[in-house]
Amino acid sequence: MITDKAYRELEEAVGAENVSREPAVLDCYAWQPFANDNPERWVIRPVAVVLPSTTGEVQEVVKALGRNGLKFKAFSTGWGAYSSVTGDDVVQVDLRRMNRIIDIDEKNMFAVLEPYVCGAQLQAEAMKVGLNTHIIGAGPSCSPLASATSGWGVGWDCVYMSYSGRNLLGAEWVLPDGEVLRLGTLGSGLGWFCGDGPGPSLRGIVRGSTGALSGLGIFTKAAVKLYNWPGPEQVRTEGLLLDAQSEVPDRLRFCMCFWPDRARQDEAVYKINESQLCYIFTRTGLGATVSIATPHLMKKLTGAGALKSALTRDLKWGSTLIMVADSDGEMAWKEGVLQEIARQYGGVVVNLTRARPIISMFLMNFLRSTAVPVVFRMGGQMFTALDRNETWDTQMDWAQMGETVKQRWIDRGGILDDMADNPYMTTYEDNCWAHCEEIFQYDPRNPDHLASLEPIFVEFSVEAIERCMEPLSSTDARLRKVISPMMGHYTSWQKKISASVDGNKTADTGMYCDEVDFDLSKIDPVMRKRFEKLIEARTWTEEGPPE
Amino acid sequence: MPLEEGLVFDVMASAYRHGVLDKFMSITGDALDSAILETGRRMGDLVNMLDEATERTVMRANGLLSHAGLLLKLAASDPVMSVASRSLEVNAVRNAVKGLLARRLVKAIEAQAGGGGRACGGV
Repeated sequence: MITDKAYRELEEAVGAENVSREPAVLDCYAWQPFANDNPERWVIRPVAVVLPSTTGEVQEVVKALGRNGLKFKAFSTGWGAYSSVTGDDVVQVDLRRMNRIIDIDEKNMFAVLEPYVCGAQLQAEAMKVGLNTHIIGAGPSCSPLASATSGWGVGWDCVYMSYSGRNLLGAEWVLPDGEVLRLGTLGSGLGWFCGDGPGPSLRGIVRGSTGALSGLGIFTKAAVKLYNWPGPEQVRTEGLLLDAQSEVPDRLRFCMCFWPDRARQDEAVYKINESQLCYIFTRTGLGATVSIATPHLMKKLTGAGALKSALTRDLKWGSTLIMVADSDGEMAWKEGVLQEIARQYGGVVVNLTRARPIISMFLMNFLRSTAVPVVFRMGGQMFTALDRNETWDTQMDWAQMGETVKQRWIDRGGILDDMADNPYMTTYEDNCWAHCEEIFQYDPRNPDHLASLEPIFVEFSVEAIERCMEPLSSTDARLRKVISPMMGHYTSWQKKISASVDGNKTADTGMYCDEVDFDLSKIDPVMRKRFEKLIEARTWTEEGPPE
Repeated sequence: MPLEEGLVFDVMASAYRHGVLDKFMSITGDALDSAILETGRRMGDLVNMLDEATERTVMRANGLLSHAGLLLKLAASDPVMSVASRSLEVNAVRNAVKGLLARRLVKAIEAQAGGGGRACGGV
């Protein structure tokens, strides 16, 4: 509930036309395309929405909310329910009027952005000057500032363009009390080239592993690192998604590699990455690719044993990669190295660049990450199970475990059949470390599917903890309360950080450090026993970790 | 002969080692270009047609593959693949394979388009 007084103060801060408490408008913010699976948990209507257009207006909004006992939750380009409010008396601060690319520094290879700039917009501008930007897996409609400052940040280009939090070179940060903090060189009036210092860096506090998801304030500008793009100023493209047709740059190769078994795949992946061949790299579950590109065909493959076997066993160990080069010599070298690695490990390289119509369709789907939303086609919704980013081997273990768990739920009719092996998997910085999340697809109109989501969430969480990994869905306040005591009581530190910048508790911290009880009584008894055993064995004492 | 696990990979590996896979990708690309030009369709249309393949078509393809063990074993052998590779270096052979592929593609596209037309006409 927002009082008339508080509402008037918001109107004074941004103009009456940029504030609303119309229920129909507010409900538009209460639903986001991803992870809106549980109405009780996610669909909370904000008490108002406010659209500031400058940092000064954001400050005024935050101060007004603090004065009136209300909270804020920032929203840039949306997509996941993570940008929605998590409790009562929260005002959604929609940053869509802050949509400018302020600067692209070609020489020093970075861009300064406002929150509503999206990945596609930045990529198009960066390519004009021979640069490119990291685009996250959620796709090019998402805000690079949001992932750099506030949440996750994996994408197929991480092999070359790293993880969003690592690309943050500076930020303008409106704290929950309305003051502005400028990070790194920006704070010393020296520009945007470095996000750290002077003195101890605050980037760890800003991002942690996941990001505070607006729980520590609102980021109004950020500098993100840009990377080399040796292609044309514009990749001419017509159409969208699977109807896209792009002009393929000469010095670009799009290859699918297949390996005879996991051991040789893993070794080859290390070699490929250490050789710095890739611009895009992802492991390919071929069955999953079929389910995503041709979901109706997928359903007809159920009884087709030989075809399924070819897709899921013979061609199981596959990866997709894009190589680019600044010269013909460099490309020849890369192709030669890839061939040599294929020879060493008995692999197969399918150079799709030779089949022009196919690569023409796929190119921007990978280069701009536009293909990802296609995963919603099969059932209308998807969710994902993440573990901790770690070495490629540990991520492959997670992928194989995920496939086993998923197959059980597919057999029970709890989720859709996508041949189970459907990992969103990539390497960071030439495989310094790697990422795997197991995607599963479901139909939200199917009660059996909806009923399966919570048990699947619990099962994947237990599997992650058993592997001494933080389940990356730890934005869930229930799970956070369970796993924090197993991980050095990390939420107590988050709460101290929160208290130090937000004494008035003006930020919505539901996705950051709040905790609520996890009702374990509703979990399947076998799983509950595993869960309770872990809690008992792994909980830290005051002195430190358990023996 | 039923399909052994790994046989499809073995064929691809042999084709890759002998350069057949690269040659075949180029031929496939040319055939697709030709079929797209002739029918006025786009690659996305072809993917959608594949998506709409009937259960009968899928099971027929599955039946062919599941009984192709002997043929695939033969194809996976180095001597056979070596001959295939040398054959594909001959322009006449390349053009013949490309023409055959393109014709099959056009036929499949037109058949599906015709089927769709009849269905619409019946509504």
